[in-house]
Amino acid sequence: MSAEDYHLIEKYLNNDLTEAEQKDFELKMQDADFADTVRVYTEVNESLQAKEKRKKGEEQLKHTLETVSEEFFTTSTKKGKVLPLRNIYWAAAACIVLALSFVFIINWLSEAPQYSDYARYEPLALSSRSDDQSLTIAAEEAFNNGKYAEAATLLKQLSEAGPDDPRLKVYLALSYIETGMYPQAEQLLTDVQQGTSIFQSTASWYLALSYLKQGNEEACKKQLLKIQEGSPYFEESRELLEEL
Amino acid sequence: MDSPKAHSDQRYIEALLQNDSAVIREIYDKFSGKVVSFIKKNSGDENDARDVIQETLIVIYRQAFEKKLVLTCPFDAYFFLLCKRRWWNKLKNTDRQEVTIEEDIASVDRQSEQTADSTELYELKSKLLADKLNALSEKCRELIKLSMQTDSMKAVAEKLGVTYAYVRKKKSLCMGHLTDLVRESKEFKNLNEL
Repeated sequence: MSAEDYHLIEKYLNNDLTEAEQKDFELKMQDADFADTVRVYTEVNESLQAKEKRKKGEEQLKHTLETVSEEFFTTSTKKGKVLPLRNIYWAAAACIVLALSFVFIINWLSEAPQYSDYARYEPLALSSRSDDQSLTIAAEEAFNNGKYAEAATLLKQLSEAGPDDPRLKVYLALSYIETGMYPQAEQLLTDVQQGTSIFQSTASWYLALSYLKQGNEEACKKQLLKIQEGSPYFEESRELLEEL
Repeated sequence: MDSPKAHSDQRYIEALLQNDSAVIREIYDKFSGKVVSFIKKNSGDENDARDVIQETLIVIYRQAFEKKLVLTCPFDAYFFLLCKRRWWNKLKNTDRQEVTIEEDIASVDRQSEQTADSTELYELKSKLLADKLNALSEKCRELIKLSMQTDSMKAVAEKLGVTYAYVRKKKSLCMGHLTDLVRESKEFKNLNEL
């Protein structure tokens, strides 16, 4: 292909062809080699464009994958590790601990199910569409480190600044549950539950758990029944129902 | 083009695109155990598995972003097949020789295999393109990069302080060269036959 040919293709891609050039281009397209060059040129162009466009999203995904796989692999390797007992005293101490924990377990088994038995949060990783990067990071850190009061303040700021984001709402609600601000939490979760986002099932589940935490067993049961088969929380919801 | 009906597991693809950590966690919980035990059985360890899984998910993400990947088969079989092949390729490229991996072809359905093929083909093409891009002059690479980052060639011209006609012409020369490199490569010819 000549430099002119490439120039013509570039103009074509930019919608810049004059009428005469358009005719010339169409004529040339009848040549298989030219047509194939146009095809590859276009594909290369699109591919490079996509690579630039997804750069930020890919960074964020990598970050999430790191966090999730870190968690997944450490929990799966922790199983079955044996601690060395150096001497008989340690063994004796262990026996006492064992006896005590036995008592504890028996007590615990007879108790009603607790919020903390069921609540398990994914680490918060926000795709920062927000202009304020530092606010996003601070909110993530606060939440992931269990500083829920702080997280609530920051997440509220974020959700007020940005467009409607179900992920933000759910995590803000979780922070509210943790700090005992149930009405605010329930309002947000009901909102998300009625929407169509992928957080719908998460919202339904935590709405039930919010009632559980307040000791409102009836409301909790009612809410649990709303969780349908197919939800990732279905099994747990039925387990909890049985316990109640 | 008729778009095929997506399998309900398309939600895993969407989760990668949306960076939805809850569903990504689900991918790990549901589908990774199999990959880990496969790699452990075949001269690898947990760290290898971790890398293979992460790399595979990134490739799926890229293909989905660029080519609108539509899953018509269960994610499970497709994902496992990709991880398996990736591990296989890694073994081939290292000195860890004398590995035989038993292929249980019977258990893999046609649909999953085809989808996995398309993802592999996509990755090979991207690698080829990256290689050839590196073979260009630095000036060309910079101009191409800038033009991909900027919305219009007019804006690129403004940024560089040259005329629109000039920058468009320059870009077309660089892109033309790149197109040639890709088309003439042996790899590209092989890929086209797939």
